Amino acid sequence: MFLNAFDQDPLKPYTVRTTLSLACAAAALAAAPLAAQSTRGAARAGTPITPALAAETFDSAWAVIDRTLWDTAVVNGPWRRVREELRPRATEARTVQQLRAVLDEALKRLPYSHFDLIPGEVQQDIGAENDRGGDAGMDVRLVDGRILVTRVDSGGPAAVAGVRTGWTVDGVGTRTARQLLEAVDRIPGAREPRKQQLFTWMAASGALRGAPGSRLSVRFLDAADRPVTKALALRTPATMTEKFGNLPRMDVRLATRRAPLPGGGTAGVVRFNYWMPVVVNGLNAAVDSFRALDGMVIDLRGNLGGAGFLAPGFAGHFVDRPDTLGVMRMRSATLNFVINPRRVDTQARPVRPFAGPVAVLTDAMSASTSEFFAGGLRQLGRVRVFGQPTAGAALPAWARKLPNGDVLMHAVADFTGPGGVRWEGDGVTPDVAAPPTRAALLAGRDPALDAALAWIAQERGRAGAR
Amino acid sequence: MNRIRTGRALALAALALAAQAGTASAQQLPPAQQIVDKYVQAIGGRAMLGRFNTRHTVAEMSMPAMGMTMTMNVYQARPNKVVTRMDMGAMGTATGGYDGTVAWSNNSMQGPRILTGSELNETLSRASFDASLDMAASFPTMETVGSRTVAGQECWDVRMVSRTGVTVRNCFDKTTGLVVASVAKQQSQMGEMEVEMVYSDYKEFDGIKMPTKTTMNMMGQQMVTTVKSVSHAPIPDTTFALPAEIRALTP
Repeated sequence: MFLNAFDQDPLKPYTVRTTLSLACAAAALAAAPLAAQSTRGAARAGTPITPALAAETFDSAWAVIDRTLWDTAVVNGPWRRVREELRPRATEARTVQQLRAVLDEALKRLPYSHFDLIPGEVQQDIGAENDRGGDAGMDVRLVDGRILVTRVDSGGPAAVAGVRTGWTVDGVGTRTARQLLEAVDRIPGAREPRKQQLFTWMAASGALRGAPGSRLSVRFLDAADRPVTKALALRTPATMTEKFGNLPRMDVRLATRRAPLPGGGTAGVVRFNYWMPVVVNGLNAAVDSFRALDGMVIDLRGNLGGAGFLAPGFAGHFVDRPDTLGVMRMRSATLNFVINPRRVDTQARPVRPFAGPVAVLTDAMSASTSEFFAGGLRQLGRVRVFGQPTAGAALPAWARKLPNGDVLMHAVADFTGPGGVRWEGDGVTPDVAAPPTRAALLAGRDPALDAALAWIAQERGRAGAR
Repeated sequence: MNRIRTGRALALAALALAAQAGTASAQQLPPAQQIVDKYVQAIGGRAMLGRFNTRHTVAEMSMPAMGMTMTMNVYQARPNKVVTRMDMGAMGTATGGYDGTVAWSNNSMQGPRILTGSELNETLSRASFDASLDMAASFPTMETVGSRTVAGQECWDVRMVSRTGVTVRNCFDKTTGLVVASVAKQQSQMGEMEVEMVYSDYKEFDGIKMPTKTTMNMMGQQMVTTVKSVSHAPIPDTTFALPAEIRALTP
């Protein structure tokens, strides 16, 4: 994986977001990111394609965007020219790769995020990868030019091997971290710091996966920058697998725990990596179990998005009157993401929404649905955001299978939060900036979580004083 | 929840979207009442439709472009009870209903809710078991507004407005009398959107003709509903009882 991802040109990240609207539901789906291209995918890209199939594929992709792009000025201007200029080139494509290059160029002419082409084989590979995906029981982030271990799962392979947070990943298998970072640097879009973090994280996370039971050699630099090599016995992670429409299979992780507050008290911490229906029951149960605590922390770091319609539903646990998390403007309709207060618990007992302090943790890998959940509730004054700015990729998108088997991700709506605020591009800026630092990680601390818990403790104190 | 209501409408198909006798129509256009009478006759006749007190419809709903398929069960009982259950695979389960007093929905998007306002109105406008018979009660306003061609079939366009203000335009095949298409503004808490449906593949179930294929276009997405079975066997009344999580919300 580690090798494969960087042996090819270029490393293409697929930030995939699905905004699904069940026609009858008026619901929208938002984002769900994917991973990097595989070598197998690149190999199949050379497959010949007939002019007819190339034309049909181009026409299908062009038409769906022409029909659904909300910005009619773009539709009637640049997008018309795309067809005039690029369709002839598409029909001249003789390989799948050549056609993809034309489609990529077409999508780049749109001034919005969430327009991506996912090669069919990549989609299959990701699904297969997730099927067999053993993981190392750790998470990483790019911090000050190093790939640092930011989380070690208790009892996981990394923990068993003695890996500590704050250690630097210096290489995986035969590749060095320097090679990995240089490869990321070659991606034009990766020059933007958040994109650099995202691409590095995607590549490193992929590298740290493999067949369950296999041993992965990882070279670290410890707290004193001494080289340490560990053979990590990859495990099958305790995840929930979700196959959502045309999207590849995804490993969905949900973790909850109770964290002590400084000065006494307890907060509930919920962390999950995708907004997918499979997490809903777990989220509802978590809120139930934390209902009597002093506060809650919703950790959306590394949560790339998912089904957007889940966000207002989850938000209903924290809002005591009906409100709106945001407005989605499509070509044919404007939809309000209405928050209905959740007044029934998982045992069908009447309850009131949680009224205590709620902190949301974000970073550059918090995208799409995570952004409008964090940003929307923050605009409503219901949460405080800690950590780092989010990805700034907030538009709802759909996944459509093209005639050649590739999948087109295409944004179908603009999205604005309460008061008209937009997160596309800029993302959600935290109320309290708390980026990870090597020193803090080596000390076993998590600056964003620590700041959030300190704030909850402060709020608890204020409430007590009142 | 909107999903549930639309799902039910799809299952009810022509029955649920038909209309009642109307006012005078434009010159040279047949009166709406005449069109609707022909429709009632075409699907089996008043006597046949009145024979049953319950109905259980099973349908499959798919969104081909997105690779998603769902299963839907709709339970109905005279006069206006309904429960819909949609199993949406990865999307979870969505349920909804009306027990004659309370309209409700429960899905992963919003959790359990009691419907009010325009959502309640829309539910009521479609809850009647006899919607296709007792049209005067359901749609006090009805007018033939023109004719058009849908899927190669010439049809009369009839605009209908329910007692609760829901407007539907149904198009009735000039030859067979069957509903071949409808256009409606779908109301939900999230907003209003136009839904276009095309009905086809009519089949007879216990003497009543129903479309077994409905192609719906909404917000640029297409959904195809295929009716798998229709039963008029008795349904236990407990089927329509409010679920515990909805009872917890009722005063």
